[in-house]
Amino acid sequence: MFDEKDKKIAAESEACRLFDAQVADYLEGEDRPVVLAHAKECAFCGVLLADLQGLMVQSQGMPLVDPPARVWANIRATLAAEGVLREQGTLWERWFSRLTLFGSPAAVGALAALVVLAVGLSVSRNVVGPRPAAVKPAPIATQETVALPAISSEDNALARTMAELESSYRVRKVSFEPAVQATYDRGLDSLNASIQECRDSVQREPDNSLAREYLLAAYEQKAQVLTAALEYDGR
Amino acid sequence: MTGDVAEAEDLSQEAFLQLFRKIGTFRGESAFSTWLHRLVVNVVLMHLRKKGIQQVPLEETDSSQEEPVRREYGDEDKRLMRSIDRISLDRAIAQLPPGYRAVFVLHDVEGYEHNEIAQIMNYSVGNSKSQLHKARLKLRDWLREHRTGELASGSAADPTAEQKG
Repeated sequence: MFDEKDKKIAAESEACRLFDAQVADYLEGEDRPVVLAHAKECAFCGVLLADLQGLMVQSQGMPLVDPPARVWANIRATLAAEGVLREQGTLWERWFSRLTLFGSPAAVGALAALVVLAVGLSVSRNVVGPRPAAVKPAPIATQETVALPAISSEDNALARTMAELESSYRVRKVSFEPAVQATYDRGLDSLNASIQECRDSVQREPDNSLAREYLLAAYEQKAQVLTAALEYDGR
Repeated sequence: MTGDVAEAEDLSQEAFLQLFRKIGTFRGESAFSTWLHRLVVNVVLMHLRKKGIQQVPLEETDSSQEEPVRREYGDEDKRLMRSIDRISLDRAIAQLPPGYRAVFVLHDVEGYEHNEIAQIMNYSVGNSKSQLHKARLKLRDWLREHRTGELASGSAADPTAEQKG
């Protein structure tokens, strides 16, 4: 004969089994009154149900993460090497592309020197005083860069992207011939110097829109050089 | 789905490359998102097979060998999710077997329905539901064990921790 305590344990156990069998359907939104009723009576099953519901809520709020910039750069480089990708780019990029400028490591140094010169001239002029409108040079960057948000967040994001691209480049450049490697490195060093100079100017004069514009242009050039280096296939 | 950031990046890259190479084979017989997810899952599963990782079989599992739901816990027990942060949940998901992890991520994180997951993973809707429930139970167990460990070390460091609840 069972005493009252044994009968209660047996009933709970049976009810718990029924709960186990139906709780998944209940969580899927199906009508299972047994589950809720038992969860109120049984502390163990009540906690189990609360845990599972909490887990579902937490999971739904998990952020979806985008791959970093180097993944896209590698994808582009691989597809370009396979001939699957033919990038259109902006008018500026197409012009350079026609000149095969970025594909030629020797030209990267020349380009970097040009950028350094342009940035150096414009920033130093701007620090001394405003330029007359008549001698304002054509901006290197596209017009959109002028409308970019505050430099600090943009600068941080760009710096992160550059760091990722540079990290991919460091891996890739091991396979380059020493002369090619040196040319790209020289070009990047020059661009880094320009970026640093522009950043100093922006920090000194936060309202200097031209310095900001040239900083973004220098970043843009660096991104293009790094991308070109990642796509460089030895020709 | 891999439980490892570097592997996930490599596989994202491979999946996008496959997408570019195979886009011409998409015939519109299913939603593009389902086709794409199937492609991604295939890339991941191929990778796991190459690594020789034991996977949860994709066919129906034998319910007679299922582990019972764990109910034992101490007086200090509180509802679990009040003490779980996203980092812990990330870690818990990473330790799930790949088959369970895939279903859990697709359903509970990305919001896919069971019929879509069944199409993506190439098994039945019932199996998708069953694997999801087991995945949740495993996560719950892991999180409880993880939290119990933290509570134990916390109690050792702070003798008043138990009274604080």
